[in-house]
Amino acid sequence: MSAEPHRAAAIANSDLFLCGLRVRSTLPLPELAPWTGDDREPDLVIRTGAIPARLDGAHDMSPLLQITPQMQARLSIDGVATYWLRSSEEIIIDPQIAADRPDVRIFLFGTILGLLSHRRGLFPLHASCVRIGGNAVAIAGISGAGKSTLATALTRRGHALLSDDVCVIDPAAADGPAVLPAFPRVKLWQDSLEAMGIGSHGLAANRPGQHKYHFYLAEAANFEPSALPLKKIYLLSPSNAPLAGRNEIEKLAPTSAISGLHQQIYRKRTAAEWGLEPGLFKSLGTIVGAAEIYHLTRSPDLADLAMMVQRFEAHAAS
Amino acid sequence: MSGLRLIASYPRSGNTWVRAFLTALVRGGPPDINALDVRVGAERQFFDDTLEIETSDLLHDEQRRLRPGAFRSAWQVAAEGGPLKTHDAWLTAPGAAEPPFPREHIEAVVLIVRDPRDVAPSLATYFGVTTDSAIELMANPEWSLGGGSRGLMHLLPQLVSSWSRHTASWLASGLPVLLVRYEDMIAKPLDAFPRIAEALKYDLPRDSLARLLDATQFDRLKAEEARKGFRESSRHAPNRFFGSGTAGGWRQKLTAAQADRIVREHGSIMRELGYGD
Amino acid sequence: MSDVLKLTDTVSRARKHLATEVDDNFILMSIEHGVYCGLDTIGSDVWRRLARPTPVATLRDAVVAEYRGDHEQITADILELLTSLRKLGLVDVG
Repeated sequence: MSAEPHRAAAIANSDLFLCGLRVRSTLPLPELAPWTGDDREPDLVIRTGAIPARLDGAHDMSPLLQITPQMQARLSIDGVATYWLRSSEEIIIDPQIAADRPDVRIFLFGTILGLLSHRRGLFPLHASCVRIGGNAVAIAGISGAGKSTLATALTRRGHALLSDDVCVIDPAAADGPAVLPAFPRVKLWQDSLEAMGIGSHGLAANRPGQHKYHFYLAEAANFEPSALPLKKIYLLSPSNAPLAGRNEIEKLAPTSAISGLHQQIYRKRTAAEWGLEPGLFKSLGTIVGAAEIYHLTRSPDLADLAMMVQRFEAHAAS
Repeated sequence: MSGLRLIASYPRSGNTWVRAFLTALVRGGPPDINALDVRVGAERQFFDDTLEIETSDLLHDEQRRLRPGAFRSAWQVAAEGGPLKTHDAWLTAPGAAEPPFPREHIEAVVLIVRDPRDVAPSLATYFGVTTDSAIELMANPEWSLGGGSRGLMHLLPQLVSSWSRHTASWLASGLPVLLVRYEDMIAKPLDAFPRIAEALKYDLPRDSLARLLDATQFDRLKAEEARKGFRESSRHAPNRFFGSGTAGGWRQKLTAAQADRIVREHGSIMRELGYGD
Repeated sequence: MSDVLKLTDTVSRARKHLATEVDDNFILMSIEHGVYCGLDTIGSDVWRRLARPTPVATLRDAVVAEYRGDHEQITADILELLTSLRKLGLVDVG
């Protein structure tokens, strides 16, 4: 037997799973679970390589982001890496630091994953997502609202994580909108880790010197690898003070649900520039038709977290 | 197209009161204090949307460097949203190459100042610190807000600086600054508020002025906070954002030594602004 | 152009808007004004008929035939609906 097929199998065995895609990467991506699905060709290739300073026909979305009408994107983070979303099947990364540093992957699994989802006709929501009672429950909200903290606290009560920060929804799934699981890693700030009794010792910092850490859910039971129907979404907003006459959790009527979720579409401006907004807005109707949408007001005091998680769990499971 | 209009002030100097007045002016009636119109010029959400990344993944120096650039690339969007509230000093913060807003896009600045002896006790309540610590903060040229390192703040880091440097930086900025004293907003509202509205390019119908001032009386905002709660109040003093709101309350609240220390540290700007004994 | 619409006006959906349906009712967003607007059953019915330019009187007749309500009341409701949709930049007149 020649060595050739053996080597091919080894490469194939190292393929990875991301939102239902078979991913082949020359860059180490320890966040991702191994691919255990069929023996299809990879859906997405991630590799390191040179990236042109200016994409053909590029338009500047921001000082950091160029996009093209052909739905390419070039994101540049000084001192970290440049990222090129070249097609729905290919992402090229040009790191300015060691390629295995966690910083390099932050923006890959942030903006680039969001833009890739848009390109592939999916619906990325700014949310973390857990499995509760066999369904996907998303916790949406702006940065700092407490999505990752609440999701992690729920995994510590036995609920599996589907995604952190970017929740990729397939709005056209056969049985209604479904969440495509991403990977078993969350990003947490020091104060949230402490509130959950997790030590930061040994955790990789998000950026050098930053007290925000990458926390891997080591137990297989803590990650849900199958797409699940999206049944509830909580729009999380912190309030510094108790507001009279407002419950912690309130169901939203369709118009408020649509407007609340519309603002949480991940990387919405670029999607709009690509002409995707009418379709995304239509999908919002599908999502709101299939899932219950709630507003969740959160106390900023992490000492209240344990109680809040229990109330949340009871509500989400009901 | 008009440019950025800023309402600049040291914290606890009447900025929110002005926002309530402008909200009442636009809405034509008493404002909902939990839905004030004027946005904060350091809101993380704006920068995330403008830069299309999570700024929480950037280091503080990087955030400070990108802030003016984000405004430069989206100044129309920012300007269309109405005036912006800011507690920043007009200084170049660490890591940045220029002050926090792009100078060429600033159309107007209203700078609200308040006797630092009244600011100190109010600041102490808001941040849940002693009055002495508040006085210490007000003397610290490097004092920043939103720069916490253990958790995420919904505002980007802002260099507030000491009370003197903050005030002097705006006055010397060369920008079109309208200086308004908090004390004059209390004593001469019929004069102060129309000047603020005009500087910020609002149309203020003369006959509605009395009604709007009545709707946004300090005591009314305070009662509203007690009744409904105020989202923006401090976690250290929940629903006690609107304090006494008086001028000269420091005579009861500060010790002679504390008052003296403030005058020692800030006396020259205080005299310039008419804050004598 | 006066603020109040007339039965002789022709109306159509504005070009720049977003629309979706939840339980057969339309929810619209005016991109220009940044405002969301939910339509009830009759409002949604009217919106469906606005896919192409239609005289207000034709719309009114269709709704009257469908719901057999009070003629004058329906006329007033439709004019009010269309007037507010125009104000939000969601329908064009003429």
